[in-house]
Amino acid sequence: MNVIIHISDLHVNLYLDEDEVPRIEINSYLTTNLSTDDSFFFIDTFIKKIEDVKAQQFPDAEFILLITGDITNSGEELEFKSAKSFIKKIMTKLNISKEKCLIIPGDHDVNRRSLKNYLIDNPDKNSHLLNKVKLNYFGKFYKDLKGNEFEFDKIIFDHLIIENQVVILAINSNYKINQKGGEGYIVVQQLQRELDLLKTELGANMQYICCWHHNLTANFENSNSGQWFKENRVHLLAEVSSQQIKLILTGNEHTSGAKKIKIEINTSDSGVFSSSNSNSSFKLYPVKFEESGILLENISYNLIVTDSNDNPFYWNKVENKSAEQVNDFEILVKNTEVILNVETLPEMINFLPAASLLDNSAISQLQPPIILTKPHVQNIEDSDKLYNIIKDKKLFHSGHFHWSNTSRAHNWIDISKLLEDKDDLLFLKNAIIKIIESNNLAEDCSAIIGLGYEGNLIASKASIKYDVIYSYLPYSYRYKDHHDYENHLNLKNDDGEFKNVIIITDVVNDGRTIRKLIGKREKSFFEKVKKITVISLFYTGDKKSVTLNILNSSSDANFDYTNDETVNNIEFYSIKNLRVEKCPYGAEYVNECLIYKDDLSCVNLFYDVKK
Amino acid sequence: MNIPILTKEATFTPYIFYSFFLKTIAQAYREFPNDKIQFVLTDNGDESFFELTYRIDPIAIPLLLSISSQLKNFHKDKIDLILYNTRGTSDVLEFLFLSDFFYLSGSNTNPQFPIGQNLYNFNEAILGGFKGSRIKPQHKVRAYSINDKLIEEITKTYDNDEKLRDALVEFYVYEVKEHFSQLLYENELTSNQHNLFINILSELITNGVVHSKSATYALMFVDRYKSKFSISDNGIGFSESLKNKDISPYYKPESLTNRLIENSHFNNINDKIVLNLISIFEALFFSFMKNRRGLFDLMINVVLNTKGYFRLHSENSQIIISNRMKNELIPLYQLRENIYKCHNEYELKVIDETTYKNKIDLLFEQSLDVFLKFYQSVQIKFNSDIKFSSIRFFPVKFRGVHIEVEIPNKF
Amino acid sequence: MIVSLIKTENYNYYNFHAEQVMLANYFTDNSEQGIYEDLLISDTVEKIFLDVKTNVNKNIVLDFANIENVSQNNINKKFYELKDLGFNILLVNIKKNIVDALGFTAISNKKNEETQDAFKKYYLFTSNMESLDGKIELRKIFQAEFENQIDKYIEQYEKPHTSSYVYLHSYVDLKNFISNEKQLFLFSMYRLAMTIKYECTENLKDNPILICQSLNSSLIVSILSHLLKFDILILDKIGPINKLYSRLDTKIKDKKYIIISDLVCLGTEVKIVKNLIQFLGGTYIRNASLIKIETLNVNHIKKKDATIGVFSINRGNNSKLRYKITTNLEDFK
Repeated sequence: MNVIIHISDLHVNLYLDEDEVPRIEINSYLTTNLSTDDSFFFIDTFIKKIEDVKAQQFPDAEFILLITGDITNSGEELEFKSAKSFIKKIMTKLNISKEKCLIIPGDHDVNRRSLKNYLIDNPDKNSHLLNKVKLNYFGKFYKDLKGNEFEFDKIIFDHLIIENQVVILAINSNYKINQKGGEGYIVVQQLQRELDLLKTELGANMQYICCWHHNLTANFENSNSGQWFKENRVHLLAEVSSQQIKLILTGNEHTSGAKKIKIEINTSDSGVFSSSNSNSSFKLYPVKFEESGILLENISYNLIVTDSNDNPFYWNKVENKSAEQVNDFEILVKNTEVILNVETLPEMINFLPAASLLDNSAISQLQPPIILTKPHVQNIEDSDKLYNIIKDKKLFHSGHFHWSNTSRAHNWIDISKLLEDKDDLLFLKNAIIKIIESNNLAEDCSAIIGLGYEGNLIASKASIKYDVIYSYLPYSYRYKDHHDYENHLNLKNDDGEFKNVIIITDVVNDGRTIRKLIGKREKSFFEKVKKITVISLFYTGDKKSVTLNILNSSSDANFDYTNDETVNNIEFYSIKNLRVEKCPYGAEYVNECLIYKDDLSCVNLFYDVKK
Repeated sequence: MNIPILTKEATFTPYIFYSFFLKTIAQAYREFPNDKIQFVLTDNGDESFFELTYRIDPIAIPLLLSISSQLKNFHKDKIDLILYNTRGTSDVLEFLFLSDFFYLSGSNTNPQFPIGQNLYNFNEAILGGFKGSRIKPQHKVRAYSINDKLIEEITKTYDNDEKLRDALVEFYVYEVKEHFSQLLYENELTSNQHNLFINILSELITNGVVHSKSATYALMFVDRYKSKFSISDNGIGFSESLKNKDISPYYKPESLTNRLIENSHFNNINDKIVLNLISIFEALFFSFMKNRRGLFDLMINVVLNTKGYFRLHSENSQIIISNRMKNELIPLYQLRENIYKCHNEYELKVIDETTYKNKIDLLFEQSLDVFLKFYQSVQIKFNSDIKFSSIRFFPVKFRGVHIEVEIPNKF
Repeated sequence: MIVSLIKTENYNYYNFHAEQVMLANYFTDNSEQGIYEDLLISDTVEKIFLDVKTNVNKNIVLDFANIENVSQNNINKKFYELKDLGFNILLVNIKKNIVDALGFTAISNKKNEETQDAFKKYYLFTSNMESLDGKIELRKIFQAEFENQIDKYIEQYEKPHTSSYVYLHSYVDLKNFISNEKQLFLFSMYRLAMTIKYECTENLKDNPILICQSLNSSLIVSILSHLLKFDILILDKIGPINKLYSRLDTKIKDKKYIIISDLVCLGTEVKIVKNLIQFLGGTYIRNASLIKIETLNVNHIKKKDATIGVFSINRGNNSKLRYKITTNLEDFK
């Protein structure tokens, strides 16, 4: 049986620094110091483990050695020299021929010093493209071990075939590595070309496994995209999946793992082989050809460090389940599916549309009730929502609020604050549209008028949605703040062309202001208007039952016909009733209303006191 | 007949739904043909230990609603759904609750939430005492039906099929925006692609509503890496609706079907199931030949341009289209563009009718060939390497069309 | 209602994005995305084409600027129908993906002007039509159209402007303009929103707040708030009478503001609001207005202080519009 030994990230380190002093920060068991037995002891322990495994589990094993990069730490010649002796030893002892070896470079096998030197003489070159320069020492090392030249500019630079059915591809993912390092990158078109060629050469019915250095996905980091150029990763994955590649063997992450990318592609990382400061590991993949298909068993070993002198470490098999790894990688699953009978589920023989079967017709309840007749029905949802906003934003204030000598209250709703939030503002604009729609008010309306800043703000949507003339007026207590032309309605109604008019405002209390506007200030316009619809956010008056004609003089038995304007053609709609207490004191409020007199609570005047 | 929906062994995914859940239902009806089924949300009943957690892939929810609506129609009565609220189930209950599953499947009449379809009887009192954890409130399940009042209106206005479809797509563009807007716009990753998602969803919903003549259930789900939609109807399926297509210069009903039947070699698969698979190909072929953009274009867009997955299930078969089939899809894509161009040239009067007919005749023949190749390659793959096959067969027939789309988010 | 139609001597111009935004947000009222609505719906096309069909001028310019995609590719059938009726259609600022999706590539014209991902001009006919040759610049045709329309609303005034200590000889009756020229007003609002979005790109993520400080500007702010999805602040009343009614507890601090006016003349009121905002710890970003009077050469104003406007009264048109500002100082040369 063929068993793949997967090791990666050996990071063979220079033992001495430039001043020939032993370096301190060496994190690998493998160094260039061959004068002591330390490095070889590590290699021997590894070889011994494999021999034991072979004897106990796979007596007929023929080994394949796969090294997925970062063989050295800095791509130095000296490091490669030592690496060569370690790997040669493994090959000899385990009887692995050079044809059964796949040796793949990683970003640490790039010699950055050579690149830097080369660039001094050739500053205009793209350093990542200088494969021959950046991998020069790796190339020599490769030739020494493999006997043939390393093909610097190929992506698939080596492959081996198992049982004439499985092809293992050695791939260079260091395209973008330059003197500053870099992440994985494979030129997708070139990969496709080379793989297509190989596929033609080797014939159909082969299963391919890719091996390269950089990880496409992360087991450890909190990122799914591994250490790879993002754009390239997307295209590479698409290509790999369309090439029916089902397994990618990588290193680089220093964490043993197995993870799925997409639904059908498995990845396996053997982890770091010889790290003295983190978990060292390697993997074995027995390649199994079975009745049901082809699979690679996934067996991982961890280095256990005991710190005892005579036996400082040993290799231990890892439970896949506890390491959250799969037991097998499926390479080919033969079709054994048999479905000879179709099972059915009960269904209606004559299919009927779903509606006729609904026991209590849900559909009729889809539409909110349409109010065509006279009672003033507020939309409960909108009403509640508006009330909640007032409550949450604390917009209902107590104190003494003062618009004119005759218009005083002890509560006030801060409408301009209510309208500041774009979503609340939009909600109110829509609530007004809802009133217009559900009462068919737009049908024969010929003008919409907004009152005050607030009226303008909440009426804008209606003013655009309906194809009628729009105008606006300031509140009467603010007349002197405005230009003359702004204070008057700019519409003429001499011929009575405006029969139905909608007035939109924020608050209506007893309706006195509205009646004054209609009956006095803009009398010439309103005289010929048949129906005036007033839509307001709030009704703040004291009447308990709010009806459509509540603002009309005739609706009030105690109507003050002397001081108030008589108007009887108003239809009134509001979103919410919220009673505001009037200042209960009469003409003598200046002395009687203590809030006002002694500034007991908030006192707010909404107009300029005449000097 | 108690049938558990969620089991502790496996996440309730569409795959589990098709392969195991439907099987359990079919078996139950085989054993007790005269009984009515009862669903139990979680298998261990009230005794489930707190460490058990049940998991559901949200995109399986439309499928569950769809089968429930079929059974309800059969019994002409609601199906019982037994709920347990324990520490082990409360997460999944809360998720379902927040997705509006219970409003939609129960008897809700409050227009603030989806109107109940009266699929299930369940004990509403159970639904409460949640931890108050917040899932994305937009991961909602929705129902669309040709019987909606507004759709009825639209349907009445158009006598022409194509125009009706266009009008419905328009209508659903807005519905989709409203239902899924936060998902589409607030997530930075999806907002770049929001128009694509809106188009895909509204097209698929329209297909469901128009062809199925049944309710169509939809759900959209977004996480860090991908967006998924699932759309499921319980309608008449592809073969029935394609039979009635008129003969036109660019399409003759069942022309591909006949060609594929001659070339089918599936071992050990019931002929009816193979025919069912062929009907999916026929549907794709019809939309491939048409002078309008439709299902095929959508699928190509999802796979080639966004590197996503497009899974289409109908009755016993499922076809999974992904980049794995890139090599087969690219020639299809190029040919489709030629066909579309030819239609446009004719409509723009760049070419006359005779030229058009000659050209389209040729393209029709080419298309039959390319589709046959496509089919054969899918078939070979299935026969030799099932795990990585782009088609799957399931023994239990589940009526209607069920589509899942998965699109990786752009970084 | 069509808002974007501008008739010129050579062609009639329509703007798809403006119409899409208006239709979706207001007329059919089924979207609340404001100007971020970038998907063209066939309803909008239908509506514009109904209007096109009433035109005598057969040369039609359809502006696709800011349209990212179309709701369904089958919209192209509507264009074919229009072409059949003898209209010469020129598409401007259309993304290549839309040309592809709609199958317009079946027709090509040597005069098509291409940029990286769009066509500046794409002719839906093959012949040569000189009247559609020149540059199509919305800014220019809009300015000309506005100039024609606003003329009626400029009234003689002849009173000193108390807060700025100059004599204004006329004023613009914007209230009447808004009531009577609704279409142009709405197109202006759309243009203003788009310009603010463009000019304040860097600040969009900070959710700037729109300030209104007059009755006219409250209407403008309300519309802009919807189109731009911005919160608002009502500062009444800074106007001819320079006075601010105290708010009970407005938190201005640490927020960013764009001041919106109906007309910026000498900018005195803008400056008052700006100072106030800065005094209270807020950040002033820009000011924007429906109409701006260019009393200084553009090059003499810092960008931040320049008013974002959709129509300018400037050296080129003020005499035609009878708009003049003087002081009591003696003229001398």
